[in-house]
Amino acid sequence: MAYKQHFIEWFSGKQLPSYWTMSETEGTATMQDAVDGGFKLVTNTATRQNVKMNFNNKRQYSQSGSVYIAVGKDFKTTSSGSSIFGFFGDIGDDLPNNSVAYQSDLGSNKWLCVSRDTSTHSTDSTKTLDTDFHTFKIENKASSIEYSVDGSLDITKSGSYNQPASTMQPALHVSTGGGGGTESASIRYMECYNT
Amino acid sequence: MTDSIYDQLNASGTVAKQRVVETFSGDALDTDRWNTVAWAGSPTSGMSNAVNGGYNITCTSSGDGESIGFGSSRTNGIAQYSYNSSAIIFVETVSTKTNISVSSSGLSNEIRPDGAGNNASLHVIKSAFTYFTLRTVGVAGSQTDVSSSVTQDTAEHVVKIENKASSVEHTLDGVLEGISSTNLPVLALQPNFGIQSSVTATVTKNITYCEAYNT
Repeated sequence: MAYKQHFIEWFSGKQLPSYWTMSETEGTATMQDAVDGGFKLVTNTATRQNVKMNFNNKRQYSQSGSVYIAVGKDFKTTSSGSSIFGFFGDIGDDLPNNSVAYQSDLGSNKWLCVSRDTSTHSTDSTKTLDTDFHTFKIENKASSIEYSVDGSLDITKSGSYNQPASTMQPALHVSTGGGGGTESASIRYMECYNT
Repeated sequence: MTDSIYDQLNASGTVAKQRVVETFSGDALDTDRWNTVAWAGSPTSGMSNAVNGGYNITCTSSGDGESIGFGSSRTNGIAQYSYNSSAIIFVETVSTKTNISVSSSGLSNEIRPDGAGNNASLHVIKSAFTYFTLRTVGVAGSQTDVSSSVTQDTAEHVVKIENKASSVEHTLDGVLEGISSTNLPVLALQPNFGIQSSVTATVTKNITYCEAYNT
C-alpha cells in the first residue's frame, strides 16, 4: 500500500515552525512557557478580530478520506466568539468553504460539529463546552464524517451534510465574532493524514 | 494497526500531554524549535554529513562550551515539561571520555552545558568521573550526583531520565542505573544538550534522537 500524506505537529519548542502561516494576526500567537502549554492564539478585544494559522492554502488532505486530530481547548465558555479546529478549504472566512471542524459556540455554550461546502451544516456535539483540553478527531469518509471527542465517537454525519467538495489544509482559527472581547484557544498536538 | 500516531502513543480516551520528538535530520538544526546558546569560547555545531550522523556540538579550545534548548537565551526558555511528571529519551555519543569539563543532557530550566544553574535532571559526563552519572539540580543550585555502573565511553547510548513525584530515575540502554531523591528540580523544564571542554582539544557531542513528554 502506498504511503499517504501524514503530518504531526507537537507545538513544542522556541516558536511555531515556519511551515505554518499566520494568515491573520489581530492579536497574538505564541509558544507557551508553561507545562503542557502548547501554542496559544489570543485575539484583540474589538469585534471581528481573527487569529488564524494554516498552511496558506496548501491543501494536501482529502475531503473524502482523511483524519484530523488535535488536542486543544477554548479559554471561555460564554459570551461571544469561537475557536475552530479542523480542515479548511480556504483561509479567508471564519469557517471557509470546504471545511470540517469542531467549533466552540460561546453563545450557546456548546461544541459544534460543522461541515461546509458552500453552506454550513452544524450539529451540536455531545460535549459541553468547557475550558479543559480535549482530543478532537474528525474522520472524513467517502460519504460520511465521524466526529470523536476524547476517544469516543461523538457525532456521525451522513446523507445531506454539506460535505466539502475539494481538498483541505490543517487549521486553527479564533475569532471574537460580532460581540467582541478577547477570544483564546490553545493547541498542543495536531496530526493529519490521508486514509 | 491504526494509522494514527496519536492512538499508538496514547491509551484510548486519554487527552495527550505535551510531547516532542526530534530526529536531528536535515540540512540544519530546526531553529524554530531549538536555539544554540554559546556558553564560552567559539564552539561549532551543525548537522553531520554521515550515516547516523545526527547533530554535533564541537569544542576545540579550553573552556569552549555550547548548549541547545528551547529558549531565545540561556534564561529565557520555553519550559513545557513538568519537573515531577515528565521524561526525556535521547541517543548520544561523545568523541572522547577525556578532555570533557562537563557534558550534560536532559531536562533543564536553563540552557547551559555545565550541568550547573538551578532546576535540572541531567545525564552527565566528566573527565573527572569514571561512570556515567545522573545529576539532579535543585532550586538553589545544590546538586546530587548518582553514579551508574556503566563506565564512560565513546559508544552510543540510549538514555532515559524520568522525573517523578519524589525522585528522578536514570536508565541507560534500557537498564535502570540510578535514582536521585534529593536536590530535585522544582520549576518547569525544557530539553537541554550541551558540552564544555576542559583543555584545548577536539571534543564533540553527537545527538541523533530526542523525545520528551509529560506523564
